[in-house]
Amino acid sequence: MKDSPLEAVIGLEVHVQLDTGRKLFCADSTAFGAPPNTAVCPVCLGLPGALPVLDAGAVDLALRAALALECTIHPISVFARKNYFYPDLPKGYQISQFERPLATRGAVELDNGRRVRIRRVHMEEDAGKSLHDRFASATAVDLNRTGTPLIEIVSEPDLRSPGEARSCLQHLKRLMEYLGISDCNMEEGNLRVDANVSLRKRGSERLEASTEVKNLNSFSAVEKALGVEIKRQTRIRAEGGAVTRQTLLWDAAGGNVRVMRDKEDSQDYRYFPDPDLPPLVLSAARVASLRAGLGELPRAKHERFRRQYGLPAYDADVLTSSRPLADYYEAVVACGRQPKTVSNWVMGPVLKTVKRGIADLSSPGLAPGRLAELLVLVDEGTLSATAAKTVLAGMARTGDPPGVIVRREGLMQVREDQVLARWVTDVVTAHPEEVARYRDGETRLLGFLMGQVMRASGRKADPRRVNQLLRAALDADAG
Amino acid sequence: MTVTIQEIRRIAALARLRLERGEARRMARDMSSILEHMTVLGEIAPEPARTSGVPQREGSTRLLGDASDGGGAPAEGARTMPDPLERPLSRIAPDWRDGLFVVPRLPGVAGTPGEPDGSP
Amino acid sequence: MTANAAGVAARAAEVRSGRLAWGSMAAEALEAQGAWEQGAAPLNAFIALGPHADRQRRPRDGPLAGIPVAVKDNLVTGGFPTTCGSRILEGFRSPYEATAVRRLRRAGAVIVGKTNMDEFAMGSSTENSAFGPTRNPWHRERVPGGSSGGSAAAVAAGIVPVALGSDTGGSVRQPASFCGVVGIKPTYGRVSRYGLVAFASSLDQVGALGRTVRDAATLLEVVSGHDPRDATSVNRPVPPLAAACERGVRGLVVGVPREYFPSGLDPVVGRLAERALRALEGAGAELRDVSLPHTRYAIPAYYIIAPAEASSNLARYDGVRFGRRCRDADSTERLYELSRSEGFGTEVKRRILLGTYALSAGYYDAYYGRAQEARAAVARDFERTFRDGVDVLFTPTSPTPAFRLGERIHDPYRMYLSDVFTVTANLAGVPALSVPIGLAEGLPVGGQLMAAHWREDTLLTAAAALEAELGTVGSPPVPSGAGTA
Repeated sequence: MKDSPLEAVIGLEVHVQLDTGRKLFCADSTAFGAPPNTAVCPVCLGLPGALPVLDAGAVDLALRAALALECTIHPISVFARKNYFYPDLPKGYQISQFERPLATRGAVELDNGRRVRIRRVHMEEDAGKSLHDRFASATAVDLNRTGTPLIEIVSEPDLRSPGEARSCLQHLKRLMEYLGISDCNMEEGNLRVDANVSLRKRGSERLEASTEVKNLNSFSAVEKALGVEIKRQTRIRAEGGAVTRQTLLWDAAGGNVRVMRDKEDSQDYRYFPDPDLPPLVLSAARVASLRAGLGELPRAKHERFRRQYGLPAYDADVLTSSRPLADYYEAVVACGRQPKTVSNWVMGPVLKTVKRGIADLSSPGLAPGRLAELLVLVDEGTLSATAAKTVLAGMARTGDPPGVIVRREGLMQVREDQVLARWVTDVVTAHPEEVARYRDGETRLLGFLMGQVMRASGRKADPRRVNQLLRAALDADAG
Repeated sequence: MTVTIQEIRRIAALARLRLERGEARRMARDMSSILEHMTVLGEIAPEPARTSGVPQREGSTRLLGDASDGGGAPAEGARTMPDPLERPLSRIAPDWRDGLFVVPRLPGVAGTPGEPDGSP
Repeated sequence: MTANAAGVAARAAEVRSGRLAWGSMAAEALEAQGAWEQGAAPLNAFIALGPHADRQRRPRDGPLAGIPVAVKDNLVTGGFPTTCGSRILEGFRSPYEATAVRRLRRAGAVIVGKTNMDEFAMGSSTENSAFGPTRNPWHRERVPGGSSGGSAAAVAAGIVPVALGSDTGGSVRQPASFCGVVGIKPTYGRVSRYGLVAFASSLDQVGALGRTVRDAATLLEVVSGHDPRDATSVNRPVPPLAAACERGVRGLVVGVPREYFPSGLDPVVGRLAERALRALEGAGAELRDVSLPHTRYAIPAYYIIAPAEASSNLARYDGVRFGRRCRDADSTERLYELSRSEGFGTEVKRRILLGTYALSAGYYDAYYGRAQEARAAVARDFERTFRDGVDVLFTPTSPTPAFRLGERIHDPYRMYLSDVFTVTANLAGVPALSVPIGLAEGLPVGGQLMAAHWREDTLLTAAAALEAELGTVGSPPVPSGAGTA
């Protein structure tokens, strides 16, 4: 593509499920995996006479997303009905925003510094689920998902390669996760991506017929499918043909795209303002308070972490992936610990504990002050690194402070020379053959003898001091 | 006639209505005559864009679960609870199997569960 | 006369004090209903009749304690089917209940049945019901009006003292006028639409019908008020409506809009309207000629907006989750087409097509867009008039008394013109009421009152004065064999 006279023009349409825990127009749960058709009520079933009422929590999350994407928020936006028939669409229309969306004209900046313009962010409800393989020659419908709150983020066609599209998507995902807007679980369909693709002469501004590729449900799918589709369009043009407006479905298994429908016979959705829902009027105060609550966004935070704490990019990436994690890290550092040491501990043992579900970052046992206390014990040599990990696990499990656990479990590092010397003497006495070989110049046996001392100490001996004492013992007797 | 039979057929297909030949002709005739009376609407001077088909609005939108609703106590009790179903769906649905609504197989979409072409 | 002939508030007080048995009025209602079904021309006001009152476990006090109430069949109701007069919902039992119905029960009312209506409230004669037309109790060869014809007929026949209806373009007021009862459509947003099966959501309001102005006011007061389950219901205190009936019209400015007295107006209707105006004047009101110049756009605007919304509201009747399903369909697409084509009647199909057309690509601006402009213009007419000091407007409710069964059913636009005086209040969202103003050759004629938003109290004040000045139109002759003691 680099040397080709053509360049790709790619825009993304991303659906993100809002983590409110309930539906957009009724109070049913959106928890994943409930038995089919149990998280439903008259409203999301579309029963005669039922009416939608907009959930305030979803509005706030959608606004956060729009603000984080630097959008203009519209003080009045309007819900519209998109009319079409489908078995998993109970009302025969989807409530979405059309002519007057929540927000427009935003931007995201990619890692390569390019800015991708965001055309719009709007709110809408999800459809249910059609199961085509459940019964022979029948389609089954589960409406648990119906009414799940979504935002749709539409980018301008500013992306120029599959790699950029992937990078843009990763950036969006990171932002949504960081702000607690969505868990972006792609397997559960909480982040879904469609892409518009066309080719044009490099440098040209002309709009060419584009295709829409659907079913891009992983980062690699986005990159692969766009690569395949760009190749397909390149081939068509090379053969003198014309690309037609089509909707294509990415088949991950086959590694190709297939035509879902021609755009020319696309549906007439008959959008009109939903008369059941008054226009959404946002007070300036509501928007301002959400804007203030947004705080530093992940990209800025990432840069600051690298600069202020001297962290490698990888560390900054991990630590700024969510706001609670970033705040936690900074709180521990603020207790006076060395930033890189804290980073190692947070990314390693702390996150491992959290992932195993033993505790979370807000558990008292893992409070930043407690972790800092633990690191002090390591720094001053009271605890070995291995013992400290055991203590951390204990802190997470019991909520006790590190000092208490260290005393209770006798994990304090032994540094008294008298005690250490006795273990050293015992080992030297017990292994005369190895000692002799060491003294004959086979110095690598020092490691073996060290290991024996540590074992004798129950791993509590201060290894640095043991090393010194052991060398002294071996060398002294040789003289 | 302002509305042709072809147009009636296109509209009927959008609305998922099947019209017999005579019915389509009659509808085309009725609609043409009705729409003739609608031409007076052309005399109305356009106003700035309307935001909704709902005439009377007071204050801003009321939101479910909004503390700033300002509307006093909920009138019917728990405002953020889903209205419970007093009859099981199995007694309402025309075809119900294993907790699922069932319809005859959709053409052309077999084998792609969860990815209906109608979904947003 | 029946016990039901006395005022609702007084009878409820008797029930609360124990002087009247809780279920006695409901039992009488069911008996009277049976009498009206006798003979060659049954009234057919009900689609479903209730279980005996004693089987209803409900509070036995409240402002409607023991009062038998009929509910239009487009309000979903526990213990009853809800069909909307349509084959597509034949036998459908809703798993939840409408807010207005819940409030009725909470007020101690006994729901005795679901009343007949034009299918999905689309009609002005109750002839478009899948369950046969309702007849006018004053003249059985005439229509009761519509679409709440069953409710109006049930009240006029003395079966129930009050009934709930719904009014999208006149569907409470026009049948009230044809049947000689009082019907009120409150301000849009006054009564919850939760559980009212939608026809045209931006126009639909639940309304109250009663033998007298006070009875209608009592019923309306019970069902009014904010509901968090309806985003268009408005959170405002409900003024004491029954009390407003006592106020008197001295000093009230009554506007007489010239557009509502066209040259083609039925002369008897014109004369009775004139008499009503004189009566208001005699009671101390000031009459003022006014103009609502955009009235002529109302019918075209209404018959675009209402079908457009209906085309979308009725998409849910697809045979998938509830209601009628065609069993022969071998694909989902066939299932939709066959279920809907067999389930909907002609008028409903006509309006779905009209609405789909008005919203479809290429026509939206010319029809739906223009209609919204016209609607706004109609609303501005009202705003200006009420701002200029008019308290209430008086017009005929309908250009004619009840027409004959079958007279207009094959001429859709002529049928639509029955709503010519009533659709404006729905387009503007203002409250409006029809009150009997006399008989024209044995057929009742109604006068319409319209007021500014939230001023139902003013409407009721003026209506009560008219009722007092003109007297009621009485009751239609009770059918022979109707043993109403």
